[in-house]
Formats: sequence, C-alpha cells, structure tokens
Amino acid sequence: MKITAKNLAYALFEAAGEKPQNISEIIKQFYFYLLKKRKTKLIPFILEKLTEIEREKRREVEIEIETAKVLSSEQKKRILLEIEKKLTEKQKVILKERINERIIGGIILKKGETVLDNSLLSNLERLKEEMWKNRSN
Amino acid sequence: MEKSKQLVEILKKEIIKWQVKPKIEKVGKIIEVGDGVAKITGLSSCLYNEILEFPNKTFGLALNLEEDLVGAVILGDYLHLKEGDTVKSTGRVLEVPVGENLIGRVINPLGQPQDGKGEIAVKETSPLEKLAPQVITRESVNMPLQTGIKAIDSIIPIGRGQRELIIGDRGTGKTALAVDTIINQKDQGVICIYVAIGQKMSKIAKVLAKLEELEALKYTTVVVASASSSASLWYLAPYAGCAIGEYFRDKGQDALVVYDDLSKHAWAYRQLSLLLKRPAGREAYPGDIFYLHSRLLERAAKLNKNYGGGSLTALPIIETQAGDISAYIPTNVISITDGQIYLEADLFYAGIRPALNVGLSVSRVGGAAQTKAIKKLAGPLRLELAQYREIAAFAQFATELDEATQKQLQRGRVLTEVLKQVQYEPLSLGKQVIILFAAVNGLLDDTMVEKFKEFEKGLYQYFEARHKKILKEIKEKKDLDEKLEKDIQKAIIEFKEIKKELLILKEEEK
Repeated sequence: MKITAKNLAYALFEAAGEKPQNISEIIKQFYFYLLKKRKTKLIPFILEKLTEIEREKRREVEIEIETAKVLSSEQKKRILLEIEKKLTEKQKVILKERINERIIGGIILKKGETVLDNSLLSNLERLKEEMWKNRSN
Repeated sequence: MEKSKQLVEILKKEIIKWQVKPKIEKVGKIIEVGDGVAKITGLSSCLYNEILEFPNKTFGLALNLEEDLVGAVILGDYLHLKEGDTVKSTGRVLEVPVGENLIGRVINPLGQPQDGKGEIAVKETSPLEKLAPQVITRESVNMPLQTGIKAIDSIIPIGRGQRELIIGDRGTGKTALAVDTIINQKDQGVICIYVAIGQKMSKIAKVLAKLEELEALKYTTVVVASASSSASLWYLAPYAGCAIGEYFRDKGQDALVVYDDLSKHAWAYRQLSLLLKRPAGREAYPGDIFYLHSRLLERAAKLNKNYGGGSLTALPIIETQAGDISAYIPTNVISITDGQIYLEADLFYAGIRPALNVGLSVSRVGGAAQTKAIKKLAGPLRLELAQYREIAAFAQFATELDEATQKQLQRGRVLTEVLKQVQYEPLSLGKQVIILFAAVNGLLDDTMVEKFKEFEKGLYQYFEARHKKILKEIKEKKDLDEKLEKDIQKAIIEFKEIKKELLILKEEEK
C-alpha cells in the first residue's frame, strides 16, 4: 500500500483512538516513522487530513461562504437553514466566512470540492460570454 | 444615431433575457507546478483526458489519475501558475473543430487559427481520441493515391486508406516527398492535412509558401505545433490532424494526412510521461509508446460502401539516426504501417533524388491500388532494376564485359535516370505511363545519361503539343491496349528522330 498523507492520517487517528492514554508515545513513534521513511514533508497534509477525519467522525461539514460584504447574523442564520435543508445527511454545518469585494455581490459557497458560484461577477462574465456567442445574430 | 440606438435596444433585450443562476463546478488546488506539468488535489471525479481550466483561461489535460492526485499537462504557457491556484473541472474531453471551413487554414492542435485570417466558425467538433473503425466497417484498399512521383507510383504504389511510412535520415527528402504528394492531389478530390510536429517555424513557413504558390491550400489544412510550443501541443497535434481527416472519411470522401514527424511526437510523449513520473522503459520511452502510434495510425482506413466508402490515408514520417531502421521507434512504426518508403542518404548525395532504396522499400498493398496501365509496366521495371542492382558492382569494368551484360547495365542506368525526379513537379498519370513505357520497352536505351533530363522534358512537351489525344486516352482508360501502345511507340520514335542530339550515336553513324 502506498504511503500517502491520507493513509498516514487514518493510521495515526486509529492508533490514537485505540490507546488514548499513550498519545504522546504514539505521536513520538509516528514522527520517527516519518523520519525513517523520509516523508516528513507530508506533515502539513497529514494535519489537514486529520482535521477532515475528525470532522467526519463528528459528522461536521465545513462550508466556506464568500461574499462581497460582511453578512449580518440574520442573513447567516437564513443561509445556514437553507444549507441544512439541502444536505443529504444530518450534519452539523460550520460556516467559514470570507470577504472578497471583487465578486461585487451574490454569494459563493464551497463544500469540499464542489463550488456553487452565484456571484454577480460570475453571472456577468457568463452573460458576456453568452452575448459574445450570439453576436453574429 | 438611429443605428446605435437600435443596437442599445437589442443589447438591452438580451440582457433582460438573462436569468441569474448559480453555476456548480468541481474544483481542485494546485500543489505542485513546473515544466508544463501540474499536480492537483481534489477533483475526485475527474475524467481521463478531461480538460481542466486553470486561472487566466489556461487549459490543461488530466493525464494521470492517482488516488489523491491528478497529474495534468498544461496546454500552453504555464509560467503564471502558482501553488494554491484553483483548478476547475470542465467535464469535457479534448475536442477540436472539424469541417469544411478548416480547409485552407492553419491551426494549432487546440483548433485556434495561426494564419491571421480570422476566427474559424465552428460548426462541429470531434474528440481527439476516437476508436478506430471496426473490422466490419472496412474494405481492402482498392483505389490508388497518385503521388505523382514515378518511383513511388510504379514500384511502391500507395492506395487510398493505406498507411505508408516515409523513413530516412535527416535531409533525405522525406518532407519533400509528402509535399509533392499533397501538390499532386490538386484535381484528385482528396482533402489533405499536413501536421507539423515540433518543426522549425522557418521550415513550416517554407512549406506553407510552396503549398500556397501551387494552389494546394485550396484543399489542405495545416496543423502546427512548432518547435517552440509546449510538448503537450506536440503530443496532441497528430490526433488533431487525424480527427480533421476522419470527418471527411466518415462523410464518404477521401482524405490524406501527413504526420511530420512521428519521431518528435515520440519525444514529446516521453517528456510528458517522465514529468508525470510514469515508469520509463527502453530508451526512457514509456511503456505505451507503441500504443501511442498504433491508435493514431489505425484510424487511417478504407471504409466499405455501407459506411460511406470514404478513406483516410496516412503518410507518417520517421527520422532515423545514421540510417538505423532497427532502432526502437522506427521498428515500432514499421510494424504498424502497411509498408515503408526508405530514403537513403548515400543515394541522395549520389544524385538519385528521390533517394529511394527500391530494394528495402515496400508497399504491402501493392498492385491492388495501382492503375492497370502502370501495373503492366511496373513488373518488368522492378525486375530489370533488381537485375541491375545485382550486376551494378561490375559497372566499373563496363568495357570488359560481354554485350548482353553491357546492355543490361545501360538499361539499368537508364531506368535509374528515369526514376529521378525534380521537387515540386509531380507527374500526371499520362506522362508517367509514357516514360515508363519507353523505358521498359528499350526505347530509351540509346539516350545519353547526362542529357536525359532534357530529353524527358522535351518528350513531355512533345506529347502535350502533338499527341494530347494519347495523354487524354491514357487518363480516361487507365489501361494500355495494343493500339494505344503502338501509338505511343510511334510518337516516341518520332520525337527521337527530331532530337537526335540527345542520343548516343551508333558506331556506324559517327
């Protein structure tokens, strides 16, 4: 089996889960293992993956929201409600906010690999492409 | 004023029609980029050979699908990409525009015009990678593809739907052969595609200029991946050319595609595979280097009536090093194609151009794709040349040999002269038949080798001026009957009487 960040993260997570009292010993051995296999450059990826695994276990999902202006708590509540309606499994949603004035308006939602782009910028760009395509008519 | 107001109204209407809606896409992140290759995380639903969109309208091709990573090759400039950039999946596999409006244009493998003649109105696109026609849809090659080159049309004839390899060292006339073939397709109803892979821009410009001058661009498309473009474009160029040719093949028409050259294509694929960390095999080529060319060349075929009866002929070109045709890539492509035209440097420098090695060159389709007229003459021609080759070593002792051998040597010399041909002057069927008929029937045995070119030129002019009927008859009948043969013989003897100064005088006449 290939030694990837994903496999290492899962391995560490499960090892720590079995013997939670020896956690510092486990981490020490894990680090030496990484040194031996010369895979220490994977550490940031392993950490990322561990956070993901933990969230998975706690049935949490992180969703990134990008808006042009800061959202009020009222708006955030409504967004949260809509998202929870659309989720297939019962998961707790953690919102991560990002402000990007370049999108002019609207909202961009990002969950893992999937992006739902309803920003004004993207709509304008698509309109431009559509009109450009139709210019011969 | 009115017009601009109208324009504003039209634009307003279009804008109002637009519905604001979200776009859902799959994204990934670049974790490593360099040398034209990017490693991307995410994109778990990426397809093989899918087009990926990088920042700044740059596109890439997903070639390595690993467990957590996608290895993509960037099509074009990659210097502006950095780690952390977002990569979008397009869900589309690489396609190229095809159709009649590509004829006469110069494009790159992505379908973008390179000739400055404006955008190409895309009516139809075709994926670059396509399955070759299945066995049931095919038919054996039965129509000739006239190259206009005497040596090829007589001894190594090419048929429509065949794959004939042109192989030789650098500077032996490989591209010249292909270009002459394209020029000769002027009134033959064959659409031509010239794919330039990794070639110098100056060379491509020369070829384009010649094609334009001889009006070949009216039926030719040129696909260019020049030496300064990225390896990914070199890799895609032949497939793009093939896809364009397939459009005509599937419509029932005949097309010809020239891949110049596949050696560079193999280099580009090796570069990409090594950068994608795929295991290296013999000569550092990846394990699927054979498949790279076999899947390309298998798409050149002759389809039977039920599938339109169209054909796609392929003329791949391979450059050998020091004449070694038993190297890795040459042997691969030789085993895929239906024959090879072997050009030798020694013959080239000895003045025999086209520098065809008649002994090693072969066409596995042969007579099935030859007009009856030429077929009749090709048999004795081949035989005499073979006999000449055998005794050629004794040519130095020419005066000390018996008369029969001397005659054979002279005949061989004449035949060698007959097969020489100047670049950019492909010959019509009629002219080929006349000169070969003369050669094989001993009517040229008394010509002077040094004055032969003049003789040949004069002979064609004579027929064009005085015996146009004969040329026409050959073109229509495509076969020689007794009467026609007698007419040709008479005409040639007539010409010889007029041009006595080009002939070797017999002892009595001196």
